[in-house]
Amino acid sequence: MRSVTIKPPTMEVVSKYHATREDMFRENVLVEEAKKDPARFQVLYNNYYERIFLFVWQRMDDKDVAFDVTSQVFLKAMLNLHKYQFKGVPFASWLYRIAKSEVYTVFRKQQTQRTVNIETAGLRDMADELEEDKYAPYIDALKEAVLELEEEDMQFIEMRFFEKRAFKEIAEILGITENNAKVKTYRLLEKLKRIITGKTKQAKRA
Amino acid sequence: MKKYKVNTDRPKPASSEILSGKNFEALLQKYNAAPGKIVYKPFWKKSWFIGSGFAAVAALAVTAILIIDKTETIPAESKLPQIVQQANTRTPEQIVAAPLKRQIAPPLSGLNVTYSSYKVKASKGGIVTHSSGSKLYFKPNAFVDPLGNVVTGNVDIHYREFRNPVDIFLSGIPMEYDSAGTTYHLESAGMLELTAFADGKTIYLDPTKPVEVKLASSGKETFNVYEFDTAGGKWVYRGTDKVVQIEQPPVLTDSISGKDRSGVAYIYRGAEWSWEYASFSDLPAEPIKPRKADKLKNRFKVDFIPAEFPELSVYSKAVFEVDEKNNKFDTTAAYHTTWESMTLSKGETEGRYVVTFKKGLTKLKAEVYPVMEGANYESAMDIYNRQYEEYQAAFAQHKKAKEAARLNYEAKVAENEILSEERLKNQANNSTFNEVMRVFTVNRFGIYNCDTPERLPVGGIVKLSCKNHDGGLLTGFSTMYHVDRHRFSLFSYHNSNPVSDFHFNPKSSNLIWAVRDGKLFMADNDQFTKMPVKGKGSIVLKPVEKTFQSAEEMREFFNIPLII
Repeated sequence: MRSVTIKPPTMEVVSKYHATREDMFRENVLVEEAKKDPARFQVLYNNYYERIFLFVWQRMDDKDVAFDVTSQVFLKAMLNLHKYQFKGVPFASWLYRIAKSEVYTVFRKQQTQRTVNIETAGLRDMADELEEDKYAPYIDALKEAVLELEEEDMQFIEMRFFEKRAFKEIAEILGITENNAKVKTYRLLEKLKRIITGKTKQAKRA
Repeated sequence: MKKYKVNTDRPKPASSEILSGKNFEALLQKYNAAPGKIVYKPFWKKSWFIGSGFAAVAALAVTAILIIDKTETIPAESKLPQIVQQANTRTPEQIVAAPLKRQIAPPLSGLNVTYSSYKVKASKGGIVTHSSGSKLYFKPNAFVDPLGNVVTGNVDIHYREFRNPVDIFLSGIPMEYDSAGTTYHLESAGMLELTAFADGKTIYLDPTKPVEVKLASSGKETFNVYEFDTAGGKWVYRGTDKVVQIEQPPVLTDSISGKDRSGVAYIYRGAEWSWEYASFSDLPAEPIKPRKADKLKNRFKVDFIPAEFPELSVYSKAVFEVDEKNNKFDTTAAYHTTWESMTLSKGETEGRYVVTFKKGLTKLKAEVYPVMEGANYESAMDIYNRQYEEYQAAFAQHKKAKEAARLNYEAKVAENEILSEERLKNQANNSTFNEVMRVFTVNRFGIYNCDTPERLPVGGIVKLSCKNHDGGLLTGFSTMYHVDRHRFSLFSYHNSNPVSDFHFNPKSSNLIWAVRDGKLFMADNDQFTKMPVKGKGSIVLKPVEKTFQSAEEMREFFNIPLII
């Protein structure tokens, strides 16, 4: 009798973002309170300040600008809190979406270049996900390949491998399904594999 | 040009450095200075109220919190403690939470609808039965503090109902409802306010543990449920109630209430009580006869959880053989793919199962049945024979019990018919026969109203002047309240005397109130009998000399029916 083996998932993702359903509902109580009294927003501000700052800073070069953008994110959140509707996902996903929008606004207005903070550990995780040990020495090639990605694709790789976010979290930030986030990320890994293979062949021919 | 500026392994700032950038005070100042911020004006200062711009109020968005779930199971009464009313030592002014005060302005100081107090043990929950017959079902651990922490210990529930126009008037709760730019007045079938305190501080309801409300009311029609948005000073539609006729079930002896031994259950379905067979779920599953493996067929081993497939108990050492009658099994894909997961589920045919392999978006399904190999088959047959005998014995006993249940059922139906006839006779003489419970759930404390938005009364529209005893216009009051004694609503006219379009029903019994400097003024129906139905009309508002001690006393004084 032939056997079937199951490959366990490789990369471990630890995120503060995960919240139980009860946590989310309780958090929504805080949101509803903050809608009535803006001073009550402080609890949410304290809870999320660091996470939003890191999200902004990951995409920026200047720390001071990142602080300014973070403040702007929370100001926008307060001003638009009355529009916020609980949709069964953590409040953080709404803040991240505002942060993403604010970051792009800064790039557009200040004509600042988008920064990518690459983690070597993240590249190694990517090489592992590519399931090919032979890619391990080619971290530099992988890095180059990543930087060829368009912004729309880059955000998946960035969130998954450099920010170590779960697919569920990526999905909620980008407003897509978890499965979609997973499929898109694995397709991008395949794309990176093709880019690297293509470059290796070119190098051999040269 | 490069798309990105790249940093590699840039050190992350320390938490202390990040947190040094926090400054909520500054953020709040920016918020307060921002032109786009939401300002919670009192409703009488709002544009819709002043007159022209109805659209402005639509800006206040409020999330849907109330869940109207008609199918939600009513908590088992036996499992929740019954709560007894406590002596209430707080005045309504003390109880009304700060945010509510902004939009609710009781017109007469010191006179309001009183709250009833109930003490609930937060960890256990409980059923509050109000004097009106209304019931509130609190789940265990349903209360949270402002930070979302579960409240333990005793919780003070403060509850009151508004059952006639006097109650609404005294509460100061506005009854206007804006929909698509048109102002309606809510005509109520029951209105309530629910708040809770722990150690004197306001607490909140965990939205995952909503309170089920059964509001004693009348009428058979379904009404909308609205929640009063305390920040925006307006009613927000939340859904519809479910009307449940209050019918007492027939008197039963203890031995047959619930499920009795003979398998008959007493079941409440919708508004009907009936006798039904209880389910006979304790009949064991018929074991599946072991089958020998066919060496020529594809098969594989599947580790399944025995509790999920009790009928496979004899197959603990089974392998699953692929049934290729309907679908050819793709052996290449099956054996040369590193699958990420495998699931076993019951097939459409008895004894058949479906194995599903998955890798990413790729799926492979195979219809399978369990088989035994070699000596395992012989021992499985022994187990099967023994289990089959047990099954047959259980089945015979089950059949006997079911027959007994059928006879019992028929006897109970006959008994129930007699009791129902008696009940119908009683109901014919009982004025409360048409009373109902309006059932809905709320997942935050506040003010709720089973209502229908109605236009102003019809029959007469006049330019109405409110005059004082010497014939001059009465000044110094901001709101004129109109009661139509045949309707449970309160029609308000603000900041205008004369009122340009005063709507009234000349065939009804009308009453006008106004409050000036804390004193109540009135004009009763006698002034409406001579009122023209169009053109100009006037009334003389006279001060009410009597001092009322309670809402009930005021209702009796003005001869306003209870309505519900």
